[in-house]
Amino acid sequence: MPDAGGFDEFYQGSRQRLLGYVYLHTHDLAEAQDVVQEAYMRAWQHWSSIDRYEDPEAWLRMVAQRIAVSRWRRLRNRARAYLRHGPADPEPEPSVNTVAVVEALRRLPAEQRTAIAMHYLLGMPVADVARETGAPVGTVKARLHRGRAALATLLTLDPSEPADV
Amino acid sequence: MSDLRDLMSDVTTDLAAVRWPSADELRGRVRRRRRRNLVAVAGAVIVVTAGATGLATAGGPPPPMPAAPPVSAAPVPVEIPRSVLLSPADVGAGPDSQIDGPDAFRPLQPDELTLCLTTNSSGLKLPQVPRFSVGVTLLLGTEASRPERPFVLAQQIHRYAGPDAVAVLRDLRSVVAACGIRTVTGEVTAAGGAKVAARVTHTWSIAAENFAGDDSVVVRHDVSAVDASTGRPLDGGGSELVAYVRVGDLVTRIVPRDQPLPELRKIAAQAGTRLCGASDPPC
Repeated sequence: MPDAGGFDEFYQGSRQRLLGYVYLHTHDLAEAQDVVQEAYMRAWQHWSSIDRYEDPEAWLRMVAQRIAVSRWRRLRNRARAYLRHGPADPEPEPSVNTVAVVEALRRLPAEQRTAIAMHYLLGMPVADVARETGAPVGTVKARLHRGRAALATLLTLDPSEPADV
Repeated sequence: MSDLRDLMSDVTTDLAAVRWPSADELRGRVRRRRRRNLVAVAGAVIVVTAGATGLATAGGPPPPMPAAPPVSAAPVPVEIPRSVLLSPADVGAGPDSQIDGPDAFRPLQPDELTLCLTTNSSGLKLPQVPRFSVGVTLLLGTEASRPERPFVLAQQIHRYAGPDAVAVLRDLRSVVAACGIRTVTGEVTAAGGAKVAARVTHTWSIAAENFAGDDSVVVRHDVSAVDASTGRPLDGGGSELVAYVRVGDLVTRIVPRDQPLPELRKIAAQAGTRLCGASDPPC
């Protein structure tokens, strides 16, 4: 029997981070919520194994990204859900800054976006980003550097700020 | 100058206001999904057992001939070849359109009727679990480059035992007739960001029937939303059309993006013709 208490703790403690990470990739908050909830449902289905993982959140990020890959289907499903059920409860509108960040990140290559999201949103050290993405540390640093430089032209940022290691 | 960390902190703060389902609710969804899968697996066991009997006797001595085949013998073939699904070329979709996974025994899901089915008190039910299912989703563009709205059409084909296929379209007609009109209320964000109480009206009807295969139906679902206090129309309404065609023991459900009714009828008729290659009895 999976440990429901452990899952509850994991869900409450990690869902905000995962939602932010997925949101920066999907650019659509409602879609990100769908993806994240589906990822946690899959986590619960395999929880007796996953709760023994060294980093269950890494597993969850990988699953969430796979789910988000077929985003056109989710977009379609949500449109159809509206038709079926009427309007959903409105969610709070993201702030101007959040919208600007998400829009700017859309224009980055996927690997730079992932590195930026992991490092700056999730606070992961460069070495951890490298391990999770399967890229050398130097490559991750270069992606962060290029990503910041690109964002600097899109947002009012200091492009010279280094990444923490 | 804004720091990227500060901006990310804004993102985190914004997302803190998002409402979450409880962990219990997520576990409940998983339980319901497992129950649906169990129903499908129960059907699969019967079919696999029948197939295994044939395999076990293939290399041995010939089995004794039965005096007469039972009338209720399982219809063959059970599997549905993917070649009878609509192809990308049929609907102008991209060559590497997504093919759905092996979803054998997936029940028919008339999503356009979900609201009606979940709010009715007349005992309406979904059609029976099929003996096999396949499906496809056809998209524009290629894997490397998809347009913003790539969805063209989704199709599922279900095989039923005996008279169940006939019952599927009969039950659909009954459900649509019983659904009539449903009105739900809720708060929506209107143009300009203002929140208004809305009244959303759903109606269902049969838009066309008996135009293809042994039987066929196009279900129409209309949605309109008005400001609950002023009656002023709100954005967000629209219509959807879903086609069903039966050929023998096969029923296909076709969900287009924005096809007008004449186009949908044409595609559904083409899909019905394809089913002839796998139906029991054959066309």
